[in-house]
Amino acid sequence: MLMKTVLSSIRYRAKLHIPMILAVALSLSLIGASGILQSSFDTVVEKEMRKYGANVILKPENGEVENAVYPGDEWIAVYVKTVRMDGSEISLAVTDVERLMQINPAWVLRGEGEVIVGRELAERLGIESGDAIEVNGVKGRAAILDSGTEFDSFVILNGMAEKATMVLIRTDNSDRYRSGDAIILEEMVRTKFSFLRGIEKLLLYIAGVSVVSSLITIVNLSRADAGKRRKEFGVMRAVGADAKMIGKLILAEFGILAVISALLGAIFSVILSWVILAKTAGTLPDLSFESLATLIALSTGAFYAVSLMYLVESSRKEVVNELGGE
Amino acid sequence: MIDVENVVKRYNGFTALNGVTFQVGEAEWLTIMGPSGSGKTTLLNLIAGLDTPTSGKVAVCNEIISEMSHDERAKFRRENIGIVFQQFHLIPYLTALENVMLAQYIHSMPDRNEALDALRLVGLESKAENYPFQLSGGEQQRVAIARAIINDPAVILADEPTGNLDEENERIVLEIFERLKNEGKTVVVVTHNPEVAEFGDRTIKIHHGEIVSGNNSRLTHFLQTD
Repeated sequence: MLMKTVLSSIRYRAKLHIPMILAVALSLSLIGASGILQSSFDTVVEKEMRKYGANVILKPENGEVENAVYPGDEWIAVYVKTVRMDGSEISLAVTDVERLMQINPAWVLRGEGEVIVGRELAERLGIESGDAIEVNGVKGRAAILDSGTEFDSFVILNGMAEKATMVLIRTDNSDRYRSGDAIILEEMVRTKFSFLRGIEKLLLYIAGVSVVSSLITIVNLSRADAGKRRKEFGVMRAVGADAKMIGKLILAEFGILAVISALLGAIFSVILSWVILAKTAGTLPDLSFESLATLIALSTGAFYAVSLMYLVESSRKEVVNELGGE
Repeated sequence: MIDVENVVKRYNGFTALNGVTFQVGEAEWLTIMGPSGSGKTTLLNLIAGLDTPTSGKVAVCNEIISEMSHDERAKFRRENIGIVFQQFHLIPYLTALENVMLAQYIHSMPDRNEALDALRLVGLESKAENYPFQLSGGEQQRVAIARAIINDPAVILADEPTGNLDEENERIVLEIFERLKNEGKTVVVVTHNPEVAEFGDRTIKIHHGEIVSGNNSRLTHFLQTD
């Protein structure tokens, strides 16, 4: 009977409830879309990073491919591309690694790997021996070279010279990279999509304004209905309902309105964020139960704040006075 | 059954009732008459526990309701008192049957068959699924009576129950009250209509918040008709 009464009341007041629900749903959709953009940002960044196939990019600013020779009694051709990053040089060298080690017996190579990373560079980038690493499409494991020479800041590949315009290093330990040592791809992509942060903040700002106007709408519509409500509370009181019973009806009714608004708000926010993300980043919104729960909580808070007005009204003993004939 | 003792009710300095005292017995029909603003509805509200006196005592079914809290009086009402209003006051979004079942829900638990029986008693079983706006005034008042009696209260209080009804419906409603009285209910009816008062066992007249006369109009009615 409780639910029957509550649902009948909701249907009976459809003309009041629909604007209320839409007002709250609109605010929630803006808040929700803002939240979805925020939580989808990482997904956008990850997706973009996957396009690059790397998580660290060493972008040459003034380096160029050069032919170099190794000084010493024995000569070996080393093709070096040097890049200056934040005041430090990083060089990609391509040579016959086995031969290089033979003519420098004092050099220590920790671990076995297809990609040799100089100790100094490895420390800067947080690369350790055995890390999965990919340099310009060459996949393998990292070995760390401790030579005590300038080669300690080199990345050395076995093979012939390559004309690389960009050094892409992909490893499994991006979390160990320290910013400033290199351009972290993630930072670059985040900068690229920073306008999404702007949209997110703009939505939140509009949502703030919308929340205030929604609350005003709900309060005004509720006040317009207050006379009828007061009479209903009076009738229920006269029939023997106590404040707890009427409170249960009010809370159930406003709870249902809150859930409907929250679900509509969630649907609208998904649509809004989907349009924004599809148009700008070519990806889908990242949805979570947490964001839905947040919307329900916000919606419930808004409706229950207004229901307090009715709870106070229903507990007033004067509600029965309007029922009498004189 | 009902014991009103030296009751005074003041609103913002205005004295609505001034030292009213009377009793109503079990299975008795008392009519309270008086002009508009005389305090008769105030008096009925005090008996119903919808309001409390400024001073004095109101006891119903041997319970002093004037000393009860707001919620205690609501609980007492659902067990012992059925109220019928001039404006019917049905819940507009519930059907006739659901209005009766709501009173059951508030009392304990709804029982569709019992609610239908109550509507049958007032001759409205066929309109059980109708909403109040689909019923005439007389029919709405009969639904209100079904709602008032569904929990088998000992006392039925009616405030101008025929005030908005035509003669035919007035007669039907009064006959229902008569039947309820004959079943052992105590009936108190507030009215300004002398014809309604003739159905009662006893009438008290109230003016400016004071009882000015009391008689046995039921007896008079029979004497006149005989």
